[in-house]
Amino acid sequence: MDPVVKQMLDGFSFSIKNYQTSLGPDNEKLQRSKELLEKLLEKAEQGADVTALSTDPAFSELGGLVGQLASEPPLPPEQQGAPDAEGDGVPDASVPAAGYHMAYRALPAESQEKQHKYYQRIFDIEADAGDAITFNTLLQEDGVLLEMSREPLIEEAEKVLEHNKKIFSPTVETQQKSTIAAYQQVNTVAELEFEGTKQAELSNVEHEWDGCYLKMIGILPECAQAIEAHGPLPELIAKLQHCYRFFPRLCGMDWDDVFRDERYLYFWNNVFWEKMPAVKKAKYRVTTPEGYRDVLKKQFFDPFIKDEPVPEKSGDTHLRFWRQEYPISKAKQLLDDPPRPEIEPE
Amino acid sequence: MSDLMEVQRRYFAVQLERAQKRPGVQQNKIADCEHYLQVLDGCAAPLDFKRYVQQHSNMLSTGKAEAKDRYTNLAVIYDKLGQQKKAEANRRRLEIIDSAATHAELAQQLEEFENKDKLTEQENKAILAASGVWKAVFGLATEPKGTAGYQREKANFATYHKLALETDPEFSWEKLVSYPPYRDRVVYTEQQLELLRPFFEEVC
Repeated sequence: MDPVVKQMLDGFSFSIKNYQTSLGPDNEKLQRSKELLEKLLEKAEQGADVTALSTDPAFSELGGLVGQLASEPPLPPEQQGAPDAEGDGVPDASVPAAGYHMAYRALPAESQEKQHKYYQRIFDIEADAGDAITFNTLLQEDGVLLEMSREPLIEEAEKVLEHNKKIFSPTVETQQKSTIAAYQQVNTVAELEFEGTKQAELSNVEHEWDGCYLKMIGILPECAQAIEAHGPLPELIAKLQHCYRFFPRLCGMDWDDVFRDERYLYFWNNVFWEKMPAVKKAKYRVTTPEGYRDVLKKQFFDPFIKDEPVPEKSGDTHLRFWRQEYPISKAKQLLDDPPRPEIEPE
Repeated sequence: MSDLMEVQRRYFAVQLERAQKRPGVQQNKIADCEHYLQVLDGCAAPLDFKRYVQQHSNMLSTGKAEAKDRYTNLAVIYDKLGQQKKAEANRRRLEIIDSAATHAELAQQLEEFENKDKLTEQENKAILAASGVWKAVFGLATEPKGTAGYQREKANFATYHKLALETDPEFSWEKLVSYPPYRDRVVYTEQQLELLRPFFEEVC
């Protein structure tokens, strides 16, 4: 008999025997399962391969029935017979391993290549184990099941971290680093799941918070850039003058303070400047982000506020992050090492 | 035979040892492993243990323990972040797990809950809407009244405010600044919020 077919049918056979004690031999679904298994065994003995067997209607009916046996009400304990005492009652390691063989074969070729080392480890354990109990125990002790979940997640996070070298997002940097560190420390799949969700949810908040900060802190340069890009339209001038008055009332800062802010400069130097078209840099004869900052101020900011009274920097120079207040100047440091709430089940 | 009993014991012992390194995350798993180790102490042979397992729903308790740990942990995360609806959805999952009598029932009832659970979707949509409202409020504060830019922000505000009310009927300025999932996403201090508040109220 084809060894793959044998594994599949052994699996069905084990399930049926397993339910015989708790459901009793008269259970209709159990009886029908036995009939179908006999039919498939006969076909397999005659040389049917995996495809021929798995496309037989009896195969899908048996699969469905075995699934349903799990929800059949068991007999009261006193009516349950003795467990199947055939041999020592312990199935071969191939029975619990059959699911891994099927899962591996079902993977696309590319995934098979990536996952090969894990599945090969499982199949090696199967070969060493002999029986199902030893297989399940060795599998737990080996830790391969955790590794096959954990390693691809760490590799993915490392890729994102590498990609972030071009994006310059402090929240992506922090998120991926903290996720990798957390994943490296877990001992179980349950911890892996917990850390995955926790890290993602914390990052969702921080990412949006950072967007809010950049929008607020960058409003004056944004107004100047709009005039540079579209010309001195009355509406753009009105907005610049409005923000010139409003911004210091909101956060106690002016243009020069913005360009001293570590978070804003991280954006300005690495993202804004790097993406600025070469033709624009040539047009204004600038070769540094500081050079363009000065052009922007001199040509597209100062001329439109020169008649405005200098606004008082009366606003709060603090920000709120994770329910605590900090000086605004700490924004970048806070994003690099966020004071996240402690989340740990007791 | 006794060797096989020892191997069976190791199956639970190794899981227990790993779970105990971080007990809060896997309390139910720990209790389940301890239970089966106790059962094994009373068994003379693998067949005794097999009989016990068959008579007790084929280790349904293990499936339940793992599911309970998963959803308890999620409830803890969402409670801490203040996402009340998502925390509540996970607490309801715990009730479902308690009531399941078989493996199939456990899987089926949890799947049914996934399909009809509106709490998680509502919370996510409400957070998204609140973020839109925050952006529109800042937009209203930074666009001079009477300009096309101000009108655009007013329209944005109306869109997100409507969505916020649809997903959170209690949505208001007070809720926006006090409900952690809304408030934690913005940088504003109390003093800054007082400056922004009139822009919200004017168009609300």
